[in-house]
Amino acid sequence: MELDPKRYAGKRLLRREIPLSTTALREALQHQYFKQIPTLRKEKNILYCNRCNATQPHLQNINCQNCGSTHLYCRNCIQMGRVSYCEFFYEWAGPNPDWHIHNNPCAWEGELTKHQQIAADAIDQTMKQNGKLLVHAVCGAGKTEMLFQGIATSLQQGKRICLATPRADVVRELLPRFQQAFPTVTVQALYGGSPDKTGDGQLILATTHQLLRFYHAFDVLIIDEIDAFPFHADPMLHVASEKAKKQTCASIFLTATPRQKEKRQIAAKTLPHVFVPVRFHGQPLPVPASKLCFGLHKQLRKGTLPKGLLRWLHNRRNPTRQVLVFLPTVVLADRLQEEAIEVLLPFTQKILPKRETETLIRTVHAADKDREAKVQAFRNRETAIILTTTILERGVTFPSVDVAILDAAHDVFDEAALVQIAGRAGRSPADPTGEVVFFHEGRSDAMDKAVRAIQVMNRRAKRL
Amino acid sequence: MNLCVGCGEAYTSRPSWSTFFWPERISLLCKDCEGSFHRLKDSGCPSCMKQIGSSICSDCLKWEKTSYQGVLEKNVSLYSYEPFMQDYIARWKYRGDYVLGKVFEVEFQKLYYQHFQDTKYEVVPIPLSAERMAERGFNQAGELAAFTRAKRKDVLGRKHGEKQSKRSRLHRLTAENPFQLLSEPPQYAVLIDDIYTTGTTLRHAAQVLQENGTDFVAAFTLIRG
Repeated sequence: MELDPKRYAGKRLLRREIPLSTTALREALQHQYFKQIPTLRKEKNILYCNRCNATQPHLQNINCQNCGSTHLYCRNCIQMGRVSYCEFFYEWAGPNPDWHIHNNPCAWEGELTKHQQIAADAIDQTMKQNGKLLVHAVCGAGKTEMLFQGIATSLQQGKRICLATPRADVVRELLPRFQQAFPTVTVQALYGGSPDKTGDGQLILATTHQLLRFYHAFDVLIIDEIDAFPFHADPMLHVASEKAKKQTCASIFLTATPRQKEKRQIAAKTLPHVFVPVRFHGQPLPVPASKLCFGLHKQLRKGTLPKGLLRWLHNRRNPTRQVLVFLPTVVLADRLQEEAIEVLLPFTQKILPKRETETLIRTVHAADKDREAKVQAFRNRETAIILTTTILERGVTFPSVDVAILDAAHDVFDEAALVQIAGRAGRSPADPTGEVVFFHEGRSDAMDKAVRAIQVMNRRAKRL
Repeated sequence: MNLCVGCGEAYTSRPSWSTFFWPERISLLCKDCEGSFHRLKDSGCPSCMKQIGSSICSDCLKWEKTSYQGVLEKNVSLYSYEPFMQDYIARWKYRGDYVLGKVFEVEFQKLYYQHFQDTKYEVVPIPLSAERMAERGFNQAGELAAFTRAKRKDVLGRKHGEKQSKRSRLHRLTAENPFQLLSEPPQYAVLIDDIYTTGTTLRHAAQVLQENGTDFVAAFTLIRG
């Protein structure tokens, strides 16, 4: 019998994830192509899920009709398919797959700046030595391009590589860029509802959740935005990323806003790191301005926009830029919609003249069905002003935008989020300055810290 | 402190004499999730509980003009089918998160005895096909039937077919009857299912029972879609 090792190697799969008939699977087991692994394990009398390491209270009883008994199942990782006690994981035990050795895989012809090159060399070196590296690069430093050199070297050695990021939007944005940069390599994107689900590529772009399916799979694991939700807060995803690595594996972590934990590791020199303080176009990061708006909370609750925002829109330095307006909650976004369309419409004339009014102002949030299409429309300059929740805070690039944050003192906007949001402005070399304004009714600690962090990075960039 | 099975957040449930004597009545949901389920009002259609008007609704009148006239006495449901509920039920049924069903136990049982107090009634859960059962590991209708604690008869079997939720209304109404009788049906039957949408599934099952000697068939469902 013939089974493709690439399809199954480096994974722990449930029965329903293996597209083989019962007889074919039995035969594969007899030929020792697969190994059966129990789904739960017991350590010191405590049960753990063998996929996500969850324990009580995430393990709950199910009265299972398939085996006729009541046993445990794991609720923690159930969105990747239910792990029940009466089933097994199937782990590939057949021949190792031959990953292609690419002689000259990288077709990207851009040039790196001096600072990018330093980071790229460090990444390349780390990948060769199977080490660990934290890349701290400001928003818009060109992190993706810095990776290409290292990835190319790894592909020349026939390694398997995964780039994981907490957000599906980012995976969707990265896929075409990687396909262009590595045209001869099988690049695959995996996320909830992705068209491709097989996961047999050599270079895999995935959301961190998808790593749960993998087991000892990758020679190089790159985790983008390690400080982003949900990765930094969900221990399950840390387990998933540890398990997806081979025993010897290079780990690269990318971030623009390291959290306390990473800062401590950098200070204690337990985690090698490289810092890129300059954007790839060499211009400083836009420093957010704060505008106090009295009665802001009340206005937002009523579904009206603050006067300060309108005044700012009127006096912008470059009135042709598109505008990103961030809101703390979905409820506010919905409430504002109609009012916003009426009041903001005059401003759209300068941004995108002579357009039909329907798509000029849009709201978008996480549960939005047309989310992808709306973001794409904004990117194509069909939408002038977009009202969004924090889903567009990171990983997305729009060439020329100004950014406004309404109620910037709200709890959802922590320091990292604010720095990231401010980093959406001025990303293209053609328009490297952008305006960022925090509208607030009483400053928060996070706002002050974010402004200070941006100033520090700009100062460090100047010193170089 | 517990973790809410609906949203995963920590919450504290208020102790009461009821939870002191019956610890199983401690809510598995936090206040927010619990408040997101909407109970149906009794004022709807008396025959199917559709929340329009107070007389027999047009859907039920249409059924009475077909060959299914009189097969189903009435339908009683507990909750309405709002987005939160849709999501919750999808997680319970399709993702197979078994614990989520337990939340309904107390209220489902209470309402059952308000309508079918007499011990002559026996509950008949709508079955799953063998394939679906293997996939899911449990039958949501069977779970609900167990909640009622009434005498239970699993007398129906089901041929494998498309999911009802993937079909249009017309397609459902014209589809062939997927049920068959496995053993002697009860005289007074209450069919149990998770959701009443057009009522086709329940009428198919009711028809099979009635043709085989059941005198009275009603339906008791969790949700009126």
